[in-house]
Amino acid sequence: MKRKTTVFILLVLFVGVVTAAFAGEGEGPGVGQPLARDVQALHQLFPNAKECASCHQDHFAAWQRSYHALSIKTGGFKGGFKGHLGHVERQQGKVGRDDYMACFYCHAPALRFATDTMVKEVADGVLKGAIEPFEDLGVTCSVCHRIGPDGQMTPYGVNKAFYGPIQDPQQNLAHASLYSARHQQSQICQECHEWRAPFIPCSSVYNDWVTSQAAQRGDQCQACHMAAEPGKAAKDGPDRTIHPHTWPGGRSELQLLDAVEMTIEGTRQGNQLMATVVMKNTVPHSIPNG
Amino acid sequence: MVLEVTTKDQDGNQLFKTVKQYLNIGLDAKGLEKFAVWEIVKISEKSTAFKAEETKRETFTIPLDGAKTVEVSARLSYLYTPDSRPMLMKWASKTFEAQ
Repeated sequence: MKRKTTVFILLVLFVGVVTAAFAGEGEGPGVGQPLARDVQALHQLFPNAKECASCHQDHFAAWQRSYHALSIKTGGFKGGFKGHLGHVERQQGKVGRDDYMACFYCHAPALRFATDTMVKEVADGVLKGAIEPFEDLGVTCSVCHRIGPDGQMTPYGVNKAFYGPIQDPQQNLAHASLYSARHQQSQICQECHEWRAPFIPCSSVYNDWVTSQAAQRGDQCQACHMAAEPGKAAKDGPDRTIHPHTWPGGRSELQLLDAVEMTIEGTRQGNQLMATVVMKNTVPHSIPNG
Repeated sequence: MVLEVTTKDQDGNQLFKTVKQYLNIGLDAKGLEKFAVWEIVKISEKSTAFKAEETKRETFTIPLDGAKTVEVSARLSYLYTPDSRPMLMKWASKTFEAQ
């Protein structure tokens, strides 16, 4: 009897702790789940990328080198975030959740499922350069692999599965794995790389791609930014075609070398030369762009 | 992006040099040009950034000062931010002989 009572008390305490980590400031978008009010609670909804590393070492190592991993850590983000908030404050006299989320929506997507208080704490951390407690809240494994075939990002707890482009995922004890054709298409990039006015025009590469010849041919963003190579998607998994998670772009010298073709034409006319430099942008979005 | 075009004669003397910049020009709600991305609501038609799959042709008239042979060189570089280190995207050169 005493043992049963102890178990009951422990259960009540556990439920109390879990409930306390989620606050009564509303529910996450469209999923009926309470909002997280601290990092631990948010990682229950969107697991920390470090948890993926034990089975997906190569993808994790690549991701760590990517700017997706640094999305709220760079000086560029901090400067832009500060500038945006200052602009809003001058315009409206105050800043609130929507103003923070204008940047965090893409730079720390899991915060869509956090309370106003937590969102402000992260914003203050970015502004003060005290990002350590929140450094795992960037564009992580779980936010992209919790986007379903319908394009909706939902917390892990909804079905305890991760979505990806592998049609025959190997069953495992860590999580369920579900195929998502969206992960092979440009649409997976759309939410954060499409400019929809009046939002901040950080990136409009998707807008460009939609009307490009490349799109008409069926070429997706992944063809250049996640170029296929042989490898293993997970430790001890089968050999597959995999896609590196570094997303080279405008900061990659190798990527830039392939972006433009250049030739020089010219004719001499007496004591002058009419020289023409011909430059072809070979990519299906404008350059520069984000 | 920055295009730098130089021309040298057969002795290595520089006959011509020009620099051209390609960038997006943002406009605020009042139509004023703005650099800060958070103030931009529209991209100006004056923007010189390369559009998707676009081919640009830049023609320069180069005085030859009697040179017999001239070499035209072009370098296109990319700056991720205005104060970042330029990264070479593409280069080309072509030699033109006296007619």
